[in-house]
Amino acid sequence: YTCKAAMNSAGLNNLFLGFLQVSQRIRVGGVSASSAAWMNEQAAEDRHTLPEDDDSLDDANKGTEEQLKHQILEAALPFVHSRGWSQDAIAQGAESLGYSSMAHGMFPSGGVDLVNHFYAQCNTRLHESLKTTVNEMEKNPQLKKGTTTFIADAIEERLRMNIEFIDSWAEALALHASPRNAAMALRNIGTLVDHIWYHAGDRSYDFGWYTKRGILAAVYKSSELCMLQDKSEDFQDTWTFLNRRLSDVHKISKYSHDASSYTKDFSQVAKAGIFTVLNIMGMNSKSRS
Amino acid sequence: MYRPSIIHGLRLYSTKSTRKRELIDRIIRVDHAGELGADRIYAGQMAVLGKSSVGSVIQHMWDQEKEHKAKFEELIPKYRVRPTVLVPIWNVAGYVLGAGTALMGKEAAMACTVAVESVIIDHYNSQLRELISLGKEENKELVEIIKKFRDDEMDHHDTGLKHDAELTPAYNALTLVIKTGCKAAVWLSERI
Repeated sequence: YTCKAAMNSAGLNNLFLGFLQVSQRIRVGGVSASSAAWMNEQAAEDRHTLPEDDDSLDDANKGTEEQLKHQILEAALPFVHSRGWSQDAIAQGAESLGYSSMAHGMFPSGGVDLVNHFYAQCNTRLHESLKTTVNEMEKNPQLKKGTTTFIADAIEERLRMNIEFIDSWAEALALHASPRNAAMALRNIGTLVDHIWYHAGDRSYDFGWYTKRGILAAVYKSSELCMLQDKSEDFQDTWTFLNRRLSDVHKISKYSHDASSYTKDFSQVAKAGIFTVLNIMGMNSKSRS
Repeated sequence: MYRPSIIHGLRLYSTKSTRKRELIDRIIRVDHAGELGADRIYAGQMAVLGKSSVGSVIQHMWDQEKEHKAKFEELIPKYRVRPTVLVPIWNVAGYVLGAGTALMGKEAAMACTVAVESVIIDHYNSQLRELISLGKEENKELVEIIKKFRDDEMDHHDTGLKHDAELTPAYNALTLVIKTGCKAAVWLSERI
């Protein structure tokens, strides 16, 4: 493998990774077993479903580097309880897999990579779960929920995924708030609200796309913050808070709809008034025969 | 200490599939913006020249643009693409451009059509090249759609020329200004 890496591509990084993986596999399983396992891992799965689900064959090296990073971050998660969202936790995770703790150098941004990994993983889990729910609702129309209920349940489900790390979640949010990480944090919450709205049935293609997601992001964020200091039984206060926010949004959208129809009627009345005045003054030449 | 740029952070998990995703996202976003703009331009032109001799020509082209727009509006949720933020701005700007050039005369309206369509044609061609290089079979649907639309736009371009676009006073200056504006709009919509 090391020869192949040298022939294939960009330098020392890949060589180093390759060496790490080979040394681990040989230690664990012996040379022929490790190369067989290697071949199996390289076989890509072909999943041709929706265009959004398409995961075509990656560059071999790029793919294995991503897989390795994924594995290390995954292994680092249990250490967050003791070490927080930090490079320390990543180093511990790498060690638990048998790599050198120096592997944390693969994550130059440090702890925030761990936070992003966990966040992205939760988003993917939510996406899968919502897809299943929508399929079930289609097969069984009795289970059909209203949009607001669907969204409330989706947010609750996603917030519940944070409970596992609720003690250190304030630290995670603080890391996300730092300007360097703000772009990635925005991307994370953007993906989240997009998933929720898509599965709730939103198919909009105009500016409403942004307003809907913006509002939902605000609701989600405020609920997340509420959850940080919630000490009630099973976070009941947070769910109540969430429902109040969603009903506020509902009220506002109803009022704005009413207001816009009100202004439409008002503008017609105003137009009529203006034409009357013009007629009286004799300036409305268009409607003179 | 090595501090990667923000772009590196955003592309931490970039692979071929994410690159393809980003490309398709960008393509559909800008094409939707383009068709929306074209729809509004023809609406503006019809508002002024609807009852003139070229009214039916413009109406025919407008109907085709409406079809194109509807197709992209279908593709946006299908590919989970983010539409451009500037939708309200393109709505207004397109109408103003259409009505403005129509007020300058029939030939100017045709010149506007010619200019916009030539930018769009180049644009569709380069998108086709990118998509085909990424994989003709995988992106078959999108390739077929863009090919058909490009052929329609070429028809519009030729129709514009046929209806005396080049007789507009200051034809070169007008088309230069409109082309530059369109290219700037395309650049913006690809990104935001």
